[in-house]
Amino acid sequence: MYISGIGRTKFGSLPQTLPELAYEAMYEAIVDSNVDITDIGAIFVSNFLGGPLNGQLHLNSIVASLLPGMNVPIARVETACASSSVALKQALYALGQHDHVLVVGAEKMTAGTVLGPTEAIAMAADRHADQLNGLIFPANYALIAQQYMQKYRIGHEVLEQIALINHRNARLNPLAHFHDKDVTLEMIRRSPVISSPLNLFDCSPLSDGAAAVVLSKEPQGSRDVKILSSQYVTDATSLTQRASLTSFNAVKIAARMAYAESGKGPDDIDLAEVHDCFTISELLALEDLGLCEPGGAAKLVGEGRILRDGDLPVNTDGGLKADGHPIGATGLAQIFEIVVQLRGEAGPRQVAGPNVGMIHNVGGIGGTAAVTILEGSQC
Amino acid sequence: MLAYHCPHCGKCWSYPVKKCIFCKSDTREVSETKYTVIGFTKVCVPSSGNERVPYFVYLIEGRNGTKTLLKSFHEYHLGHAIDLAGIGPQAVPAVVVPGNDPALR
Repeated sequence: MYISGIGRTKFGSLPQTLPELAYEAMYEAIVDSNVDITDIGAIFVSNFLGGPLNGQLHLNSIVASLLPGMNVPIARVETACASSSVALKQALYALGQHDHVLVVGAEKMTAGTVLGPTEAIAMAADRHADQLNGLIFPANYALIAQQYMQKYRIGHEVLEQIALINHRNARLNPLAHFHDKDVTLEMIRRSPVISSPLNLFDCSPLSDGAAAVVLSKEPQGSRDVKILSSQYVTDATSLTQRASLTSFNAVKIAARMAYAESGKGPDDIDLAEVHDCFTISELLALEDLGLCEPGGAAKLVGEGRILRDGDLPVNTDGGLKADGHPIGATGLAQIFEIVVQLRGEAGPRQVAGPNVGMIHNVGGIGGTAAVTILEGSQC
Repeated sequence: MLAYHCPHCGKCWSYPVKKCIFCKSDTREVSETKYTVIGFTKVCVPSSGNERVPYFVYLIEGRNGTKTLLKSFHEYHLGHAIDLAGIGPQAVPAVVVPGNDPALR
């Protein structure tokens, strides 16, 4: 199975509505592919907060209204911040019945009209165990950061480095939320505390945006990228139900499944997009994916190995931290970046000759974990 | 603080589950009131229902391995002992981490 077309909007605080964003991404993906929109057999729509923020559910029908007369099966998929990757997996199942399937993810997080974003995002956590005890979303990752920093004896400066690297990468990505923002280490260090030990620059932003991919059963051209594996597993999302707070078991299982299906191992991964909704989660991701030993991620960061010119470039688009985090579109934007890199079309942020890329996309606090491995056609 | 435990297969729930879906056995309630602070964060941004800031959220662990959360305006340190018997309304269902409680094995 192949990705034969990709598209995305700019991320940020945007004037477009949710349907307008979705349409723009779908249009770009269709234009990028060799597939006509009328050859699409099914569509999966990834979105998390259309109801609580925009007062808009039944998004499959809204997407149908953007495609007059098509009347193909369309379904909305919601698994918090991992909605995109789970939609991708459903689309891969659907390729058993169709030659081409479209996946589109969209989110409108600014200018919410129903609930505030903090309350809405908190819905990704367990209402009874977490939300009713004041555990807003950043506070979950703050608890994880405290445990991690204590266990592995690292200071906040490691998290500051992660923020800085991602913001520098975003400066080379014209579609990134913070493409135009020159962020310095001093700005990161002086930013206000959100939930100790995490400050503002440890947190990904509220972004609007959309992304889309066209999937095909057979390759449609030389720019197609092969999907070696796409796996997701679930776990309880409340930290109260976890034996460990310094790793996500669901990520470990999904990674193990993806490595097994793809026939690849951690040493084969040339670059990765990881779900850095908070800077601490990038450390957990590197370890849970087996890209380094438990407790070894800070060393990976400190040695510069995750930089664009390192041996394991990570989040070359700026990551969720600086590319942005329009939740329903995030996982597809990660795929967009890996596809662009594998095609050799990333321009000034292109890494040298990648063949295999990995995407790590997490919903809630490790409640849903998805791992996808892609291979370029230049192998 | 209550958790629900299957004495036959060892599964645990934070929700009031009467029957084990895995082995069909009756579950039993497990209560705990004495906890220790194992993690905390000071939340500085207000949200609906949490307008007064800063406040603390504590991750606390019971003697039998149950973990739960506690919102408070009081500052405690790691290792601080808390008896939830006197707290009442703030208590939420406890969760047993499987394998941590010798009495439940």
